[in-house]
Amino acid sequence: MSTQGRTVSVNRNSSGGNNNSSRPGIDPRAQHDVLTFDVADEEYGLGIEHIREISKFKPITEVPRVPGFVSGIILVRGQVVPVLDLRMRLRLTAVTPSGKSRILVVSRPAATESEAIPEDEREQFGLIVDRVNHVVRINDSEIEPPTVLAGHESEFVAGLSRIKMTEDETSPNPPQRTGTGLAAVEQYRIVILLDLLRVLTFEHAGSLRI
Amino acid sequence: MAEQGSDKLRDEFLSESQEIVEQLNRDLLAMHAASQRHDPSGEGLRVDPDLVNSAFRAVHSLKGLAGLSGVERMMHLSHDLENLLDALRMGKVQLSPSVLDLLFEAIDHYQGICAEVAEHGISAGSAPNRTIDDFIRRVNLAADPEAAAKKAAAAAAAAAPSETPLGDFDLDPAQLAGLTEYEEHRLRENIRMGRNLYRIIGSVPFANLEEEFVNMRESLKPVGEVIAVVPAGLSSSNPELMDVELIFGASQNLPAVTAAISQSPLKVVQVPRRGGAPVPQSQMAPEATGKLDVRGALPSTTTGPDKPSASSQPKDAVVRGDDAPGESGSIKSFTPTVRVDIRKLDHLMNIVGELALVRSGIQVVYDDLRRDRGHAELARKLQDELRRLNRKLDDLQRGIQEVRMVPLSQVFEKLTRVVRQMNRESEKKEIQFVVTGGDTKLDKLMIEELSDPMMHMIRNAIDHGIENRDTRRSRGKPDHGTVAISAEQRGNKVVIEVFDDGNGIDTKRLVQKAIGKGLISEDQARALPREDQLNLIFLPGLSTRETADQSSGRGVGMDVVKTKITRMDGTVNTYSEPGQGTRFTITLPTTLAIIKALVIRTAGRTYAIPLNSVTESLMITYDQIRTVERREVYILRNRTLPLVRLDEMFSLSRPSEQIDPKQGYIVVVKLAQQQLGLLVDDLVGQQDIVIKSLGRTLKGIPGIAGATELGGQQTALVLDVRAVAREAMPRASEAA
Repeated sequence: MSTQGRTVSVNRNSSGGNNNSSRPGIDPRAQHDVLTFDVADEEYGLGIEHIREISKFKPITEVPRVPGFVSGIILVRGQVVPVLDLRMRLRLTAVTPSGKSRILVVSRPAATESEAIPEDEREQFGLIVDRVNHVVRINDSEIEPPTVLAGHESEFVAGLSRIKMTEDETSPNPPQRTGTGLAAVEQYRIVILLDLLRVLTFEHAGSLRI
Repeated sequence: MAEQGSDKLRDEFLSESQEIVEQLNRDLLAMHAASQRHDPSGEGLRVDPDLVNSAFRAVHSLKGLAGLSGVERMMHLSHDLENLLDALRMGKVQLSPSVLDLLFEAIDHYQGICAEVAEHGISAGSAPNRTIDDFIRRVNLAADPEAAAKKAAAAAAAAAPSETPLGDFDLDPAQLAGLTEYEEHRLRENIRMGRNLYRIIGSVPFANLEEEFVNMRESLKPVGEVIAVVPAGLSSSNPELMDVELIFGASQNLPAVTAAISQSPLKVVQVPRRGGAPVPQSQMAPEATGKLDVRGALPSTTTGPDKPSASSQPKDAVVRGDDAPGESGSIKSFTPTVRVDIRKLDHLMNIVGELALVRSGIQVVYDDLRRDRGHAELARKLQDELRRLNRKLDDLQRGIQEVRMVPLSQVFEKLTRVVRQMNRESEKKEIQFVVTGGDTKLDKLMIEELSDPMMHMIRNAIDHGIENRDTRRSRGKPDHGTVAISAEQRGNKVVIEVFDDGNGIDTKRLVQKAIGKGLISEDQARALPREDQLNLIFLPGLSTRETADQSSGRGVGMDVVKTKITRMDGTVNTYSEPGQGTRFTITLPTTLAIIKALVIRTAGRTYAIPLNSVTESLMITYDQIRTVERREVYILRNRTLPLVRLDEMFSLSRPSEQIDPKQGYIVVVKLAQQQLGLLVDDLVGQQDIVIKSLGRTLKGIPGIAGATELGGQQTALVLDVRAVAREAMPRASEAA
């Protein structure tokens, strides 16, 4: 990807890497491949290591007595996979899924570094997104901490990353990705990196029972 | 006993005894290995108490199993071995190489008995057998050294100078003394047939001893006969190897025999006839020869070479050269049994479930095809094939279910041992333990889950149920209390009863306790019918006894019992008469994996209700619904049936066109003695379903047991009827 090796210092407190170094799992020199996708007109990203598959939208079996953002369950290769509506999980406006809607099947990341669950034994979840964009490579040093976001918005955010747009993206019909008001630079777009573990951690009526 | 029944008994006996004998063998090998690691020059070998105990348990289990199955010879053998191992355990007898050899020989006898039972049935295991009687005598001598010494002296006095009938060949006398009667017989036969004798010497890895012997035997078989295998202990040069020596008879010459085992690192030496070249001794580790001498130092044979019949010789847990059934061990297993991880069966079961979905898919194709006139003939053929597929799928499903089923005797036997032990420990009580229906089968997972609850109940029955002898006398009961467990299959349920003829449950004290602990109020207590008072025993924290002892805890038992059984979709009922006794009745479904379900729809959603909790379903119009104390009920055959609207319970929003249904269905479900009607929109039909877990995050949603695939890519939730009922009728289900 074209962003490789470039340092964009538009941060308020500049030299992005240093104050990021305390964030778990982020090494300022490391790079991440991130799958980006749209949810309610904003672009989000998840490390591709979490993505198990991208599934077309399919009927979801509703489950009672769970938080509203749990759309229900689907079966993926015979296994029950809970599906979360990412719009509702992120407390954004709900819409009915369109033809571009996809279900990202992700596996739950380890809660601690010592928690070593083999990949195929990790619990899987489906995340409903409005549309899937593409994979970009992000320098960890370019990631801003979520503190720039106000209040609860930052709850599920691991960081923000600026991504230089490719030629064809900038020209014809640029989607409204400037909505956050943070990025005024036209040729860059903001990708909100999700804290997947937080997104996937929640309780329901039965959780408190043994 | 019916032919088929005895076949089953035999198979179960074989597979179980095989398993235990293998365990015993492993223990002995470990014991042997442990003893070799330490200086054997001291008095007796080092004993690892854990291994001796484990071996003791194995023999003990074999005794129980043999007793249960009526294989008397094995029972006697085990009984006396148990004494020997007990003496070892208690340090009354030192572990010597000869004792170890005796124990190893026991393995051969066990396998011999198994082989006979496998071939001729259980009754063959009861016929007297001189070899085993001989062996038992030697075991008893070893177990009682004092008596042994006397016996040995007597034997020495009586011993006539023994003949040396095999003098033609230059065989090591110590080795000859080590042969069993049978081996010696085969040796004579080989000589009589004019065959050459060979010693095949070498070392084999200790780790896969048995495999090596199989290979060796396989390659040697075409050339001649393995007369005896003499394991000579661990190799002096490499502790992972074992020195072995085979005595081999063949009419072929040395090169032919050598060629037969050219693949293995064994050396073949021809045993010269007297007057011929001397046998090179160098190939045999001197230590090994020493061991053979020690081997002869059994209490009864310390006085030197004696009559072969009295010295049928122990050897290691390895093969011997013969094919005679019963006479000696074989490393072949006698039952064609495979042990399988239960998860693999679950996986297979899932595949069967998915195949059933494929079947439904084909059914749809068939329906389309049938409507098309041009393809009537094809449709008919497809239908035939579909029917066949259905039958085979059913067979497959039943087959896998059958594999998962194991007899309850697996649990009952453990209980028998516990009772035996408690009986031994208690002086004031005498227990007669009656077990029936051990051949009733349940899903393997359930059998495992049942083990602890049953143990609790039996301990309770003995500790709290059965009275002291004096009390029993004063009540006019027989001295010995009876504790009985029985099991039987009734339809698709298994009913297990635990009975004792003791005190019975003192409901007055139980109620007082419950009030005292604040579990129920006095008003509630007054309103409780006796049956429900008895069920208080299942509340956590209630025990009718102030003191706790080590075996039956402090009232933690019965609520755990209930929880476990409930989790298996089972129920427990209690009947008790003061002074007469107590009877617990446990009812369990036979299988867990695939269940029949009633598929329903309500508020546009599809749910599956396990059919085993459904008693009936009926169509009603909503104006037939009555209200009692603001709760909806339906009068079903003069009984008031409380109703629950499933959509309301689950807060399911209705599509606008379905908002005010005029008619629907009541699915009547049963929870213990209580009934409940689930009000739903529509019945879809019955279907076999495989319940899938909702996974870590979603599990535990009240009222939902899991999810299932219905075919046509449709997924539905499976209702947890028990939880739904508990929620709808909290008071009624408490007592259930």
